Amino acid sequence: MSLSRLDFKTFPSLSLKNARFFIDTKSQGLRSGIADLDRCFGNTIQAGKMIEWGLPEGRQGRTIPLLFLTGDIPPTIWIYADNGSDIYAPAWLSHGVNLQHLFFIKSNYPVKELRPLFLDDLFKIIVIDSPKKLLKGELAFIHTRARANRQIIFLIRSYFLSPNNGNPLASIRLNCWRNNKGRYCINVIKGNELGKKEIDW
Amino acid sequence: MAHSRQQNLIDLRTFSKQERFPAYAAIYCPELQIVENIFCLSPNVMQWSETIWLLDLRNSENFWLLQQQKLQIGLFELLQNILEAALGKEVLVVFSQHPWPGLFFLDYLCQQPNSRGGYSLDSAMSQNLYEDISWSHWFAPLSVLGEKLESLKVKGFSASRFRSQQAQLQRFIERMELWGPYDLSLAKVGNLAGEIERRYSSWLARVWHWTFEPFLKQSKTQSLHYFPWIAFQLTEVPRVKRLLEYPVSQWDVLEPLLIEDFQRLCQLSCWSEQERVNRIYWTITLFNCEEIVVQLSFRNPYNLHKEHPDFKTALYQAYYSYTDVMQQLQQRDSDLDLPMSMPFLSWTLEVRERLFIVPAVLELFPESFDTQLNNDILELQNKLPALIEAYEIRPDFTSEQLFKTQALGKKQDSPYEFSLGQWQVNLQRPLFYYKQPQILPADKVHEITFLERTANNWWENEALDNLVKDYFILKESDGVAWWIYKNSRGEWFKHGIYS
Repeated sequence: MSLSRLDFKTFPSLSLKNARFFIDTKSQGLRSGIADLDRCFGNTIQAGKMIEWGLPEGRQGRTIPLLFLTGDIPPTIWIYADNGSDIYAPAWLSHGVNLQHLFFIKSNYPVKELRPLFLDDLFKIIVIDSPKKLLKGELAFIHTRARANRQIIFLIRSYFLSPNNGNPLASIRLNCWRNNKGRYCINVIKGNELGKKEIDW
Repeated sequence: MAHSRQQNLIDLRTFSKQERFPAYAAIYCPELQIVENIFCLSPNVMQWSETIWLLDLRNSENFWLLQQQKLQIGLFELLQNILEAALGKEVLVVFSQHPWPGLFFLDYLCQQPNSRGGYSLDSAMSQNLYEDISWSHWFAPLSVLGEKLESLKVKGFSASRFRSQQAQLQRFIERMELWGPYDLSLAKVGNLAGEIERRYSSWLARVWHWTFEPFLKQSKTQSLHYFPWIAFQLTEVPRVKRLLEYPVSQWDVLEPLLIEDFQRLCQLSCWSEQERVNRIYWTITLFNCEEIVVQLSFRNPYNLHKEHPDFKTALYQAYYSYTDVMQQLQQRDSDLDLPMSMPFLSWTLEVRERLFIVPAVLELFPESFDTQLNNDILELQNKLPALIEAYEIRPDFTSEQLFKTQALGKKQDSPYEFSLGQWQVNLQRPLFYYKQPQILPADKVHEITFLERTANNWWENEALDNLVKDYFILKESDGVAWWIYKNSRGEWFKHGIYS
């Protein structure tokens, strides 16, 4: 699929085989192709929705959201914080990410510094990775724009999310990490199937 | 059309390893009819002599790469086509990574019969020719350089002394019977530029450095390294002035006035809607009568006329400049009895750097400039203060050189006969890494898992410390995983984090 301004409705369904995602034209949802994972998410990863991830640094949890960004994705931007590290592109490619469709931008205060990016509907998936500060008003702004522009927002926190502090704008909230046995774990705090489980693929 | 033009193009890229976008172009143009046309490739131009011009192409790289992608032709063919359409068939151009090698090579080409077309100094054939050029072509542009440095009143520079130093160097060359600069570059001296500086002058040493450093060492910085760049300005610059009826400091009040001024700029007859803007100078007179100049810079050539009537991109850039200025003023004047937000009394907007897309060049493009997503990304980039990054993979064994930043709008070119996706299959490397690896004390290295061994390109004079790197995963007791390596000296470094 060539890069162009695409609407979710125009995406063809892709194969579920080999852990490839697809955006279902009927439900307009984004899937990983991994049964366990997709069951947890149901149809929550849709245009206009916000997913909040708890992914502390060093715990390898970002592998899970990346499963939704492999293959033929629409134009996507990953906003990452300036904490001394930079993008190591080959690793993203080895996770199956198409670097022709995934762009990056560095910002500690995404809404304050990158407002035009949220006003534009160019990027259909926006990943906000570990923002240093995100006020409630800014979160509401992001959510409103995502609904207006039919975008999916992945909000990544650099700490484990707690059920004590909620986010009413997020459709699903979950923590992800890789345990000592080398298996990936998720703990859904808000969403369809609450609780902790190990993911196999 | 492309085929007929191709015959005129002396293409010396045959053996080029990789098509790099040139940083500069040195142009011999004997029949320049309309002086504005010299801005056809870049808004940043220098007049070297009556017939020789220098173009700084760095600011318009993404724009031309995008046009190249649309036309599906070679980069240098595209650049050559544009130059011929704007400047005439007799144009002779050398593309290089620094202006000096371009001037040196151009002087040589101008003396050759029937030479015209485009040459890239990155190509192997051009390099071979470059190595065979005699001293006379090296000394010829030096006299112009002396004039430029004198006109700039460079501190410590004397034109007469510079000439006598050249004469000394010439006498040495005659005694040594050296044909060209390349012969001298082969001398087994540790630091030849340092020797030239010691014996002759720092300026001759710099010229020596320019001659070989950016070209042979494939410098990535593309810095001018003291080269005296004198920007060529047209006599008529699009300019509007606003005298405010009352002091103004709030953005909400400034914004509609700026929109009006951008509209007035667009209505000026001294420029057209085909022109693209790279930089607008906003000269503000403050309440204390101080004058400050801020630049509204656009990473990619920007069409101001097209955004009429709301001028969103220009307004975003103005807003970023406004907030920066206000912050700086507040910090500077915090201990003075001045208003918190320094009001503005007047301002001037000047379009100083612009790209001329002449009608003949427009005909080269079969479709509108502004139809694809890449254009949208370039437009969005102009509205943002930070750079949108894109990456491409290169086949290399070293971990740092396995990828590079890709210019926006450029498709990943794959001159290789294998899939780059397979190059790093099953790599267990982290998503984020440290450009400057962090020293890791050996006593903190516990519970590690070996990953791989890499070797650097030692034949390219890379540091022997990192000849071999053994990579491991270091897992801390709290579950945090680091990407670490041990170098050839046995020292440990953190190179990334598994996020």
